[in-house]
Amino acid sequence: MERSNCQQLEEVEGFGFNGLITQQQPSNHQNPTLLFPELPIDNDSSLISLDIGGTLVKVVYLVRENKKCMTSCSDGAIECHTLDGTLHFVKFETKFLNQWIQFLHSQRLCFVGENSDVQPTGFHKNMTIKKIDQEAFTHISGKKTYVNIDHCDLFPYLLVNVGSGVSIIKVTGNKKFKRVTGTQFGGGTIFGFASLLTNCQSYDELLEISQQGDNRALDLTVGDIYGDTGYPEHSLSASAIASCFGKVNGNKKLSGYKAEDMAASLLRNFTYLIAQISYLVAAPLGIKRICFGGSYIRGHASTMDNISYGLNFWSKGQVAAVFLQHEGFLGAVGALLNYKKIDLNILVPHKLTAYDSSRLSDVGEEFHGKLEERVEDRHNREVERLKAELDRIQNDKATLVKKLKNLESKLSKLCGSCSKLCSSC
Amino acid sequence: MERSNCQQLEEVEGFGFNGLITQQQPSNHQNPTLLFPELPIDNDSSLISLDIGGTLVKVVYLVRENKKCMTSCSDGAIECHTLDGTLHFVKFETKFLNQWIQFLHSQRLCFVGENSDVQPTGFHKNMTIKATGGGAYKYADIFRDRLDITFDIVDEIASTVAGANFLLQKIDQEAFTHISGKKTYVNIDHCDLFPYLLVNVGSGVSIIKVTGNKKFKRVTGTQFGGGTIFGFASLLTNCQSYDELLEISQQGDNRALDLTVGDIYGDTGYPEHSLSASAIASCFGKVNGNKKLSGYKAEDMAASLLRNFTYLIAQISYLVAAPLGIKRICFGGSYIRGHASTMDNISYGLNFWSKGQVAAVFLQHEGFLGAVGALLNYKKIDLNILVPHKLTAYDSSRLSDVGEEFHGKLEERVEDRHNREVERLKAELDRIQNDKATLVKKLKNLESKLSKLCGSCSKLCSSC
Repeated sequence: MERSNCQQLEEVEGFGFNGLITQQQPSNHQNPTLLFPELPIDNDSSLISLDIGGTLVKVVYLVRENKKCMTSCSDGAIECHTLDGTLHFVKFETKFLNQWIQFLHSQRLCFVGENSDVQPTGFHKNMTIKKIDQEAFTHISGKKTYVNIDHCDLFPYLLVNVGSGVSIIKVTGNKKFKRVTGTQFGGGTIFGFASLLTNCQSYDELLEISQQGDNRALDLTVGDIYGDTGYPEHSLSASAIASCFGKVNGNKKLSGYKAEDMAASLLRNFTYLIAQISYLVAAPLGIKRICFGGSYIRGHASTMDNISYGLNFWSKGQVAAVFLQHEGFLGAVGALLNYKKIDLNILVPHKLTAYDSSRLSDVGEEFHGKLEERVEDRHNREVERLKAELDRIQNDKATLVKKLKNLESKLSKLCGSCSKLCSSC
Repeated sequence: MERSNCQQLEEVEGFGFNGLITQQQPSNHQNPTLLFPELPIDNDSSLISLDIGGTLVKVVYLVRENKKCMTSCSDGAIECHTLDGTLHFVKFETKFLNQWIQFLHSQRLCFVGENSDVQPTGFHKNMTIKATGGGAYKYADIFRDRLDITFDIVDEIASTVAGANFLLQKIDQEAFTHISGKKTYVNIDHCDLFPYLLVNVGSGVSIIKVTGNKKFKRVTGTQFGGGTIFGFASLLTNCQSYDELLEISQQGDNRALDLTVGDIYGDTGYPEHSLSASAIASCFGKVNGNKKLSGYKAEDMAASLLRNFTYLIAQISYLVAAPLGIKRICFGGSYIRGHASTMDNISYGLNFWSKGQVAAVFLQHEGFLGAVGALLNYKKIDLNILVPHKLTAYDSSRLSDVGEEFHGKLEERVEDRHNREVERLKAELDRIQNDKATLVKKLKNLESKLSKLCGSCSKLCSSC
């Protein structure tokens, strides 16, 4: 491949982004690559789209590879070429965007394919749910169950996108939707509070330490106010939270509270809130299914359980919480689908009959492995080039040295005899 | 007055509770006393009720006073006695409840009997008082064991609704709207009151649909209430009280912490979905780990907390009211405390979402709905047939007059008592001094006689 047609991104110091192609995301099985065999496209260009959010940049790119295969026809078996495509999912923090841009600029980057362009976020997410098996799942009391969503049964549903903030969107058909409302209490809020109250460095760290915490150190429960019997007249059990952070009354300082307890309280209360507002919107609209998108959940089991529990409680089992495997990439996928040159709608994704994460890794390595070679090749070529340059200059230098000695020797001989140079000297 | 019939609550060090009668609450014009002239009650006992919540104890008590007046009848003008009552509103923090109980116990409380002109409210032994709130259950044993006071517990939600219904229907200038800094009293027609949504914002929030007198249902609630906002403020700033938080928030700018739609999309905002650039996309969303807590100003954090949680309460209230077709949302609880921008934020939010269809109404005695409702539960009194003193204009100076008329007289009586005590002691002192002077005089007399005796014969004769 010509350099101008290659995507070449190297590791930027401190950025840790080792090229779009080769970046191994932590816990990448959460956003597995998707294989689309036999894409009906001749153009061997690749496609990329960006979803630039308040906190995270999500990148989705399609990598194609020629495959030889045998097909039979009336003339006998013939070799033909098809193009498989793999959809890759990568994310990094928006605060690094300027550095990334600077890096891309310094590398004189070009994208594969002439008309590639970055597309802003769009909401065209129906394809993801409709096309991909084992994309949607429920998560109740620790148990994950994939749901097959009947295509006639999908609409209407409520899409709750939890990013820095929350958007709540009523989806009634393909490209038929309305942003009903939102709330400013999203992932950005919970991490914002955690940053100031604890030493958490990342949202993943917050999720982790919350597992060991007890929210009752901070939250005032109905039992704290009413006693062990709770407030049964109004269906409030003693364990129900009456006031988030309500036990904090000024007597204890921040240092008197454990980080994991605060983390547990923040996560539980804000998750519960998102579920509640979603329910309050869904119920009057008669909507039975709420799909949660955005990078808030990140496969965290108790977050999903809390949402499921809350919805089940308020709706008396009428409204279901559905989670998405590629929850954070809905916008980026939708933007990709917006390209005219590709019609992923007629794609047949590789149906995985069992969610086998090891198999997925093989698929990834098949592509990631080959591309990694190319980057090494480039490194090697660069080194060779420099070495060759060095040799050349050293040779030039040796030649000059030799010439200089020659002239000096001649000069000394001239001084010894007559003052004229004769050709024999 | 016999001491055993007096209520004597004095200042407890560190508690600052200078007696139920004379305590002047800070900003008491927010919860003004209410005058009920001519209560049709013979029994001169007073009434008191408690609402013991997660953060605050609310006390409401009725003080009665005999008044002479002239009425005319067929036999001519005759003197008669009526009883006026003043409803007082007092609150203090629940964390001081144990100290208060200890104090009451140590003072061997009692209250005024039948022969007094004034009957300050108080506690006495073997007494049953109405109590509501979670603390009524939690502290019932302590009150019984230490003070011999039995709680007659009334359901909190039922009390809150009863109190709200009473205040809204009976008291002029109880309900008001507050929009863009302007406070306007609303007269709520009794036929038009129901249904309404009552949102009680205490430590947490209860959202109650009220469809009639004693007809209500707690629809839902949220755990993000006054306790939350103060909890966060306590840990993030040096705020010592909720009032301090309200004060410093006035000088703060929430945009130092909050991520707006403009921060994400630029100055044009996101008009396709009606989101202006100034709309808040993520509360505390600008906090991304780079700056430490010390890098943020307390007033900015206070402004963000107040604005966002207030906005949330309004939003959830609206999401409940709208499908029920409810046009009016009344806010109770001690969260708002007359804070102008809190009320403006709620009003603005509701107006925005409902496109002007749903109104936010605030209550003058917002924090005392439960306590008032519990008081109404006493059988001996039927406040429903009371005619409260109608104030045609909300003139806080006039209210002070009314308050002073009662509080003033009571204060005089305490002063009178002091003065009498002082006079008594002075009189005692004079008396003793007189006695002393007399004794001195007698002593001198005897000494003089003795000296004369020593001079001449040893016998005393009558002439010496």
